[in-house]
Amino acid sequence: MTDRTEPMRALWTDDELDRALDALHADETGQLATARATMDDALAHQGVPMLTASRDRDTAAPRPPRRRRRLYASIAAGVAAVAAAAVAFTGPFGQPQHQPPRHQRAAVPDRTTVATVPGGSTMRAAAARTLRFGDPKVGPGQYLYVKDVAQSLAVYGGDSGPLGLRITGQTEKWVPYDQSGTWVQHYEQVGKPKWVIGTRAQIAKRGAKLERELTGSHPPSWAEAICGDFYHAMNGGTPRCVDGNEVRKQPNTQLLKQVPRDPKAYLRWAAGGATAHPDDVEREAMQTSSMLLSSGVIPAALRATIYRALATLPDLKVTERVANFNGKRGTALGLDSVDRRQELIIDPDTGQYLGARSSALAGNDVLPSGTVDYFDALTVAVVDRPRQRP
Amino acid sequence: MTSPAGASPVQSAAGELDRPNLAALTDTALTERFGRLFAEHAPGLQRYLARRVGAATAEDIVAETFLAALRRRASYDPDRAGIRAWLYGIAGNLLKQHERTEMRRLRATARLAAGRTTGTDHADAVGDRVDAAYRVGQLATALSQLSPGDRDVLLLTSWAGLDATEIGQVLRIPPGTVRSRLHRVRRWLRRECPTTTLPDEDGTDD
Repeated sequence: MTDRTEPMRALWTDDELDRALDALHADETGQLATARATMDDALAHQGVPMLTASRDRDTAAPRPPRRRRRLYASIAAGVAAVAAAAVAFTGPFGQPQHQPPRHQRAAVPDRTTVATVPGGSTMRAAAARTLRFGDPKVGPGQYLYVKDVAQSLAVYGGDSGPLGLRITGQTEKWVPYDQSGTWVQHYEQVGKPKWVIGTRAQIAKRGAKLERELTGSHPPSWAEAICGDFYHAMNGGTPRCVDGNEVRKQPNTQLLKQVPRDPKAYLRWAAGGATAHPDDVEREAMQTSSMLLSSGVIPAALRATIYRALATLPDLKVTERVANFNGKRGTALGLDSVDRRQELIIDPDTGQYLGARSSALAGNDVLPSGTVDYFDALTVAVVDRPRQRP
Repeated sequence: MTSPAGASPVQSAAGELDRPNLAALTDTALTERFGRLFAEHAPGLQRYLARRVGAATAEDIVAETFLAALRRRASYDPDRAGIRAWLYGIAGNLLKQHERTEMRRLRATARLAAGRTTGTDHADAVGDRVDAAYRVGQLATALSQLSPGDRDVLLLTSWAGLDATEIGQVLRIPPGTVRSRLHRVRRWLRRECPTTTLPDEDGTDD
């Protein structure tokens, strides 16, 4: 054993340290096509900011520039990430120093996970059923109505401990029969935000201001855009069907032609292609699939491909057999990362995609285990005109 | 031959490129300038960020960095920082939001490296390849334990190739502090990093 009284000695040479630094994550590559397109888009408008006025501070960026599909859902992801950074360094050990008191934690949904089993057979069955069930029959002149109700948890850090605000938003979309036509979108907040993490004193001190900032940056809004390109429509750009748009973030019929129909090829594509880090393949594939499915415009044949591809993920598990989800019964299929569980909810009878859920696992730096920080419910229907509700 | 100001034409051109006056650009020049800035700095920024938070997140940060730069170009002061340092400073602020992603990646790398080395027999364990993987894993663990400021200094040096002056401009600390911090971090890594000792040649720990 090492003598603890022995003077410190150099266990690595400088050269060994430099070699290790050179090797660490050295295979991580990437592309700049989307960033370049975003930049070109902004330049084409000669500096018209593509970020909202509420995002003047460098560190306050709850929405990445291209994440329009998750426009409101990303509140949780973005703000929670800010909070994670803030919280993680408030205490001397990099851990949150204040857990929510029992009366506050009671408002946080508990994890309802049952014993997990591999999810491959469930996904294969869902693929078969979704093909049999098919798509909503949208006729010429009609619209596909897609409603996504998303509940997000925005977590804020601070010297006195984390604060968590649960906010629910509803996004409605009217998708024309010919998807190159004009789509309509409406967003509104549902109910009042609810503080679920934090002491009464913390909430009284900071809550009102944070709540105003959060809800004020996402006011009720209507938008129209060809091909569903709401991102450019809402940021001063020119909506377009394909160029400069990413299928996984804002899919439409034309963009979906880029998505492989073979499950293996799909999996490679969804994981980011050949440049994907091996550790990230399953998580990236899950994330891409969730983004596509939650758009509500993925045809049954592609849904089946996605399900079959996900069925091959070795770590995909049935995490809950009967997820009570927006009044619908579903099967939750999840993938665990270090401190987070991502789940898709599938209707076991029809194979329809019902929504997604994200929750914290033990070891999460910010949230108590079991805390659901994102939960959405998707419904689709057919209507005769835009802005009409079924 | 030098210009009256003491700088050669080449140096002047390089200086102008490194410290452009963004506030004074016309719309046409602005488009051209930012196009060049993107072409010159985005690839390096992407590579640096991708090693820290993964390629997909890195591209988002690059996009946000240049949008923020475009929006706040009037606040750029060429006398205070080179353009590269300014861009990395913006990116660094955006990167703070992805602290958890970076930590997760480092821990995953450490676990992966541990898996590759612990299941290896004695003959392989002393091989260069396993030794390198082991050290990478140990380094990942160590990096996850550094303070954000220390990690920034180390990785801006090693991965982004910035010098002490530029890093000082990025982090808004004196260059001397950058050098002393870098020295301290490297010393700590060299001495403390291997928290688990490699098996000796006879297969035992020390």
